[in-house]
Amino acid sequence: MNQPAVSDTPREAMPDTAALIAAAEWLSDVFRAPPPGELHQADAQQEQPTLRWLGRQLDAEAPARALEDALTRQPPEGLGVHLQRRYTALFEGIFQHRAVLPYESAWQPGADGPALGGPSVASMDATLRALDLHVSEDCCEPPDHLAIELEALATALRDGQTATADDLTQRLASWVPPFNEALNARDANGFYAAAGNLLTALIDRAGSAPETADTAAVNERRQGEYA
Amino acid sequence: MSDKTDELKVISTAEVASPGRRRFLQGSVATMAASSLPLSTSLLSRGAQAQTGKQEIVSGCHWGVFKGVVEDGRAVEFKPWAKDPQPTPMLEGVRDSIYSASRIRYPMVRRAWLEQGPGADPAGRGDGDFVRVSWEKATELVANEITRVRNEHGPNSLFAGSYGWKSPGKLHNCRTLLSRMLNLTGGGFTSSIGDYSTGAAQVILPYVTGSIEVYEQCTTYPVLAENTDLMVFWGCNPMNNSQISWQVADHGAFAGFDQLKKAGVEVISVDPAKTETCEYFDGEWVAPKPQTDVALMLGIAHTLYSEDLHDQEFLDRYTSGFDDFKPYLIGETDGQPKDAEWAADISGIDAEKIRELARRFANSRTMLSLGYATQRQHHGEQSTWMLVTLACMLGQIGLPGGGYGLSYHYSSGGAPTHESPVLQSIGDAAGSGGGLSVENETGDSAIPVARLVETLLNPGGKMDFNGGTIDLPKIKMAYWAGGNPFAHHQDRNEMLEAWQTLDTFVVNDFQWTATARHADIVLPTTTTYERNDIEQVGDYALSHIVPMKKIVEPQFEARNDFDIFADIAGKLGKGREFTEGRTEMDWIRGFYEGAKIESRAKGMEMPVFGVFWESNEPLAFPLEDEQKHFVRHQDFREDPILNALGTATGKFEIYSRAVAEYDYDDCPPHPTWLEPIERLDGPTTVYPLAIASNHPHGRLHSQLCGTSFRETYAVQNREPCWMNPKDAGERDIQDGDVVRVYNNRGHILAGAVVTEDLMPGVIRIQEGGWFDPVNPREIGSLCRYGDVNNLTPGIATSKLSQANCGQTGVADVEKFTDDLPEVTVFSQPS
Repeated sequence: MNQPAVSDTPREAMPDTAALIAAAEWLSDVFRAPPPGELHQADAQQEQPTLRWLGRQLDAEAPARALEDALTRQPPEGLGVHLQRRYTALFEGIFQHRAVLPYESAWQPGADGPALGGPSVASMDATLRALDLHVSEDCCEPPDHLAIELEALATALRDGQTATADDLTQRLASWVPPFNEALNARDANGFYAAAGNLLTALIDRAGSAPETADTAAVNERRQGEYA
Repeated sequence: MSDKTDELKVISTAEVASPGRRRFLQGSVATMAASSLPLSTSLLSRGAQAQTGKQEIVSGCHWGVFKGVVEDGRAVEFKPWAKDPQPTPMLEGVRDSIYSASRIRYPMVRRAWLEQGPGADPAGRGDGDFVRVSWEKATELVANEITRVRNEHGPNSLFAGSYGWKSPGKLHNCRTLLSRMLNLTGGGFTSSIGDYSTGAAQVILPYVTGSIEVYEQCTTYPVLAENTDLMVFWGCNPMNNSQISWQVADHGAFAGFDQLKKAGVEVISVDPAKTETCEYFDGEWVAPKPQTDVALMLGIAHTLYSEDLHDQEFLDRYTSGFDDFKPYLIGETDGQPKDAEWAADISGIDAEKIRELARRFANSRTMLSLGYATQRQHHGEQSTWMLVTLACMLGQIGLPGGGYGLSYHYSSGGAPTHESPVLQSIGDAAGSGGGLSVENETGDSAIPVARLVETLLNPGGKMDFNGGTIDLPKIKMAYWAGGNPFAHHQDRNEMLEAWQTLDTFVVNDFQWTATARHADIVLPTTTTYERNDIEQVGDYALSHIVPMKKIVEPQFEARNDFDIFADIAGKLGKGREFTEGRTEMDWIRGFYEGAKIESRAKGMEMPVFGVFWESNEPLAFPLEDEQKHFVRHQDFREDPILNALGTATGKFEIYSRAVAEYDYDDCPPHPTWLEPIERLDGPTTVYPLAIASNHPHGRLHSQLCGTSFRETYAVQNREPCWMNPKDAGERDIQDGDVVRVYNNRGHILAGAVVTEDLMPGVIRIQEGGWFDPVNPREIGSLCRYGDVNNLTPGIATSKLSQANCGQTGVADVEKFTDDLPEVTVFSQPS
């Protein structure tokens, strides 16, 4: 059930699974932690082909362009510090506005209101078990962190675990929209708001994507077309 | 499947990452290597982990013993222990503290400090520009800064008084662990003396009764139920404050309340608010103007004397100095008899009512129980001293059910003490490394705990304290673990100014309190529920030893204080000395074994440690009849020579020659009415409303403010401001309005609660609300949540105690009609 290698996917066509995997992994990296302060624009420029390709694949060229713009808008030497500050401000909850916590628990209010460590932690644990995975020892995040859910989605797609991939997509679809709305409200025209918009596009497309993965295609794209 | 897919499968048995994958936005390998961020190579690894079954795990906390219900590694409920006589509803907030949105998740360093060095942009503390760093980097920064400050400024320039309500437990006592690390690494530090709860009482009382009293057992509830006719709760609200304990709460006082109620003991509550205690007993509410308690007591004392209701025989045999006090009482020294009319004019209580109280006190078996509020005021020493004097005049001290009690106020004082061994705790290694935590021959210093701000603002100055003089050190670095000075200290804006003199402020905590937000280096710690420990149940009852078992694994990158300080000690060359090569469970076992040996000497046999630990239940100790029927000072009354008090004369001292020799203008040698700097209707007071900043209902000081339990009492997500309908009506304020409370020290927002349960002229805003300035860079900025200590003064009670005046303060209130700023300090998503 390998998908044909797609070199120029028409805008209206469904993206191949390889694109979904690449997008999930790219976004997982974006949301997992603040980037190093030492990051320079030259590093970011390497992302441009990836972003353009993902934008086409996910029919989300506007968010992709916004991401490119955000990466090139800053003075070259200040990019890492800028993104660090924005990440901390948005996701780590110590600036003056409310944090946009990147955890499903915070967006799936239980009887007692939003908090961390909610039922989604347990259900994500179950999902990881189904994928024969666990959170790595050196990762201290709970399994309902956005980056982990995206990483799990990428793995499910790569492993051809379609039912689990569907579940993960639905899971993300249940909380990412309000998360992204809050993100856009607090980071208008910013890098992370644009990443949130790309994330929304990924979830939309994954919800209607073909059911199987071609890991080789993913790797080929990574090593060839846009790596 | 392609070869590459097979290759992926093989590789991903260790980690799930595509072979060609690189980390987006993490830069080059060289960039990553230079980064101070800890980045796991992969978020996920192959291999499913088994699901764990539902468990109920015993532990304990300030709020009591409980069972943590754990499902698949997640704490879903904290169930009160079945034998808890009165579990507190706050337990649900306790569980939430593990998972609150304000949890500190990673080590953080303020960017200006990290990039520009110690002391950089001190006004920027609190504005939130932090950089996330690795634990390795964070501990290295702390260790290097300790060394720098000690070398450049001397050991006393490092303040580690670190006062606060740390978690219970004999091992993970973060304040002790901080001292241990600093003592072992040999540089010394400045420590602190006393506390914010009873700072005045615990200094004056040794002169008056021979011991600090406020944390010592008082006459037990069974004795009260059997013998007391009249129980007077004077600024004393155990119904609220016995929900918590310094160790693990036993809630034994609640059984005592039941006993008193069944016995029909008459209750009077003297308080500006109708307290929960008054409500429970359907007691009589007497509401003097705040800070006028000494005048009211003097009026009662004068009535006792003038109507010959006082016990002269008791005064002659068991006290000293009444004859020195009497001329003041009857007005020979100043021409003003402290009679009921005089007291009525100051306190607002009708003179006839004052005389009636005196007669009822004298004609009944009366227990006078005093809380802490009256001594957390300007000249706060006087109220405690005067209450003891009043009890001496009544002559019932040492009799069953009579006298005074200074520890009924909280933590179930009066619940009978069980026959139990002392559970040892980890030591601070004082004396082992060349530095001690109190004044000693090495030159280390200690300052009164509430005087840190004054010390920061007056380096090199001198301070009178308890008959001596302290040379104020020049503090350049402060380290706090297990406390929240940005809640418990008064005059927040003066404090912000003082904090700018620090080069470095380090905080260990698990939540982004205002204190953590104002730090330069923030180290995330585990909550009590993410580690193992051991503790006794009940500060007074000592009824059980409870295994404080880990409920869940540490969250995010949180670490135990023990491990944090061990690593810092390690970087300073004393890691092995800090841990002594013992693990967490080694220490806990050692404490238990020590108690087991002591227990055997008392004729009891405790189970071996493994059986105790695996029992998943607290270990009970017996209650002997003698302790059940304990009467405070009974032995002294029976034989005042053999069982003399610890005062200079061996008796209750109504006049202190020692205090007289100090010659303080703000602490005379006998109890005296002294006009405070400001009070309701005070002669020079500008603002019209007195502030009652009582211990909160619904949290422990500032603890639990950052949890969902806040929603049970907050008004429009603001700290409640109780007001009498008269005061609210005069200001067109309705119940539920957001109000601005202000004076010349600061201003806060709060949510109005209009109630007849507060006397006119007084507002009640509970202490411990989290400070949430609109603009952290601006001293004097509006606090959006309602930290009452923006309004209270930072002055000392007197030169004797140098204690805090958290219950002194006046303000005015207005309806807030501007655009309502969002409360952000709790950092929950909208």
